[in-house]
Amino acid sequence: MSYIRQHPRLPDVNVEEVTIHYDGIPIKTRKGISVAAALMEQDIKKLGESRKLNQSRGLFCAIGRCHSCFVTINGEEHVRSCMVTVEDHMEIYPNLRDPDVRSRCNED
Amino acid sequence: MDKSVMICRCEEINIDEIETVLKLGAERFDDIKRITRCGMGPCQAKMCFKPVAQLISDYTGKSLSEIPPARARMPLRMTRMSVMASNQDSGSTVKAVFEDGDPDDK
Amino acid sequence: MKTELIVVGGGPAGLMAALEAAEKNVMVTIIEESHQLGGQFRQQTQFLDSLPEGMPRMRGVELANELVKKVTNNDNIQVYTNHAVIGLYEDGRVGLNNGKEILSCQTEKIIVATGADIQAVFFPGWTLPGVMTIGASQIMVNRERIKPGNSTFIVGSSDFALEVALQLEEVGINVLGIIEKDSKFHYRKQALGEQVKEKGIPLFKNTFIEQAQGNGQVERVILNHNGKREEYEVDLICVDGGLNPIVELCQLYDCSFTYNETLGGWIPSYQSNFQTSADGVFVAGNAAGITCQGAVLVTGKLAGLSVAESLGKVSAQEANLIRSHYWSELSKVEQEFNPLVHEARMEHVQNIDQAQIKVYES
Repeated sequence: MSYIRQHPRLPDVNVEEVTIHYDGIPIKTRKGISVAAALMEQDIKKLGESRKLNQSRGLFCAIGRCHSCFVTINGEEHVRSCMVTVEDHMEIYPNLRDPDVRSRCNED
Repeated sequence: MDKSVMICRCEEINIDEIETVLKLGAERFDDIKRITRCGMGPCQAKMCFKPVAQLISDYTGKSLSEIPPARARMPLRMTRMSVMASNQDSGSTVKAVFEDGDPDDK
Repeated sequence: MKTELIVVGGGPAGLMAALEAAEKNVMVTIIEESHQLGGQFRQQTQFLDSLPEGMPRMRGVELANELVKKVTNNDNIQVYTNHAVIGLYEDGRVGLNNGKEILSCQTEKIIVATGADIQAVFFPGWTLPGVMTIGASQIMVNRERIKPGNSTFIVGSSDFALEVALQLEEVGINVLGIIEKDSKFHYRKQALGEQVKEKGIPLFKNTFIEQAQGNGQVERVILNHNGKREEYEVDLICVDGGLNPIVELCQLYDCSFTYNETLGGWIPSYQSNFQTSADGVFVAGNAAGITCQGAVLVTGKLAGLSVAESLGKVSAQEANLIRSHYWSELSKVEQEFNPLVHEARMEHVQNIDQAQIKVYES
């Protein structure tokens, strides 16, 4: 696991465990870290695909500017995973396709 | 550099596509944006402005101080329609679209 | 919402500006996009460089905690985290998005302290997951406490790049090398160069990435080292293309802009009181030009003080006195850090009339 349990320069912190789900798979992680970090900790670096060429996308800038780390969180699509911290029971899915623009009740 | 290198990662525009537009006479970032969509993606030119400006400079000979920054407009961040519609402050056209009925009837 | 001063950005410059103004009885509202205050200092575990005289030697994270504590305990300062400025209303109110609703905030003055981001480096495969900015890798290691990979190359040889290389190596990431495309390394602190050598991290000049490859994420990198091609297995590449000031908000205010290469490119023009060409709009920190951490702090103080003056909370006489003291702090700190930055700063402030972009067309 890539968790830095004892950081060479920072004091230890108390960790509160939360469980999130990524693509249906439960992941135990630490409260307060970003969704992108929680997934990276599990070696999940590919968070989605680009719209046109279907190329892998993931974390790049980590400060919410590149918009490359999109995931779907609790049904909300195109969320920047570097800007959201994990919460218990979060349901996360990779950003693999564009959402349906038409609302379901308008379907012909 | 390899012309297939992507410069705009949001809209997936590579160096070759940008140079094609430069050959057509594009001079500013916004010219390139309007033809290729470079800078129109979710990040709104945050990542690609500098390399594109450098390409313009290399091709046209203009100095970087002669290449104005990409035009930034509201909203400065990606904003969901449902969040726009939540604005209780004033009558919201966006809000009306989400409600039932003809907005003109209100 | 109503306030006297909105500070956009809760990083070091914004926090200093808020504290300075609040101390002079200005009602301040800090708007911070992320979920916590502290900005870049949250992930800076190194001792801060070029701090103003009188400030004790501190790590970024320590100063961040101190500033955040002061701000939180200050009755004149309101903090809104997870709020982003997205636009302006016709009557001058500032529009905020917190992900759930749009709020408006009426203010008399605004300080844009939105900091800087890191420029990408371009090569085939740069968009593969596992390729990230050095800032991102530092955030992963120091804020999120995870290793973003097991072995890496650092692209770029600035002081910051070398600092991050050391920090990554320290937590057990195998830093295979620091690569620089130019024939000269860019780092200025010799001590960093020595530390890097001590740790056995090689520095390669005349070297660039020809290609990053991998299935879904970075697995290999092909370097061009003095014309010779070499392949390495890596699962992380950290790039530093230099720092860019973040100034989009100033465009909404129709600020005039000047191109200043040394200070990071296009920045709003401003006078010695850090007010832009738009009345009531001030800038501070890296948004006002890329500089050292000490200067980021002092520019925050300058902007905060000038806002207090413009609101009539401080007399012009007293403000000028304090401001000249802060300016000599700023000049000293920037001279020590890099005389070219000091020169660029002075040029920028003195030539406010010669902005290349006065008003935006189109």
